[in-house]
Amino acid sequence: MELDQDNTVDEIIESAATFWSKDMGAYVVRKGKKVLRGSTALRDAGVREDDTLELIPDPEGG
Amino acid sequence: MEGVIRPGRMDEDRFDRSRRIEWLDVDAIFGTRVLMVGAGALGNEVGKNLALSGFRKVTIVDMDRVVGSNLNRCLFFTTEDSEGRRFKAEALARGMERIGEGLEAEVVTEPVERAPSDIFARHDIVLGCLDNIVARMHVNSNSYHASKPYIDGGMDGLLGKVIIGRPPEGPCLQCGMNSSHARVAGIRFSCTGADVVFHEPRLAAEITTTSVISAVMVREALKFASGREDLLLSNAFYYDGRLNISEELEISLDPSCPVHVR
Repeated sequence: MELDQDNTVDEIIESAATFWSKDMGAYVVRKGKKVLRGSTALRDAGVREDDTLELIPDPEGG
Repeated sequence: MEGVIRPGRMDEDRFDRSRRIEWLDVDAIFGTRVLMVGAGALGNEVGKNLALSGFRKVTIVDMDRVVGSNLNRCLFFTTEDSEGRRFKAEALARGMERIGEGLEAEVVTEPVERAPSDIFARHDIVLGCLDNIVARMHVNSNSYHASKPYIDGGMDGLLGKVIIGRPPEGPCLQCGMNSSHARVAGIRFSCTGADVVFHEPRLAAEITTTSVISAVMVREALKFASGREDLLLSNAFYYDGRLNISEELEISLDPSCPVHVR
């Protein structure tokens, strides 16, 4: 996925979930152990080129 | 008589083996008031662990009724409960009282939003076993403002999580949410099938995941009740049962989170 420093985490989640046809649900993006805040731009989240971001489901069932 | 050694005496005390765990304070656990919100699959497992661990003062909130599809992973529900459409909270309370010595369970069969306004203040710790984001946000914010720790569990098939809010400091459940949570906030991620009020996708649900997540939730409750907050998870536990991987994740406090804006 091609990203720039102004992209927010919310934008990434939206694009990635749509592109990979993920089920409707809640997701978070993590960088290592850290869950990134949705409204934060990658620049402000300290994300650098070659960092790996992971989209993971946030399970909401009980 | 106290202090007299008698062979076999330790085997008569139901909590003898728990008392041997150095950090557990069994007497404090007896007196801890627990509010459980949600009495489905996760609620049943959490209820079992609470009752056997010695928690005796429990309030259960759930508005749903038992249906047949609950029965492969809800320990305390019976075919009779399903056929009679009994309230889940009542069936769970009955089961917990049966296995928990001295346990008294109070039941609220209303949506948590309609529960008595002092319900959070009247308890020492809150456990969330919910299936939708709106209810989670309600319980999270009310727990935070009542300064009660909130332990939230969630599952989807072989994935699970536990998040802990520890007011008055630190992040809360909502600090870790984003626009994808907002988009599905009105949906119930439910494994059951009746008495629903809005769209509800049927969710893959699996009892072994439920067992893992409930165990972590109640273990954290035991630490809190025993005064060992130093041992609590810092905030989030994530479990992937496909690979049997678990790890602790970090959620930071969001200054713009409505729970923290005064």
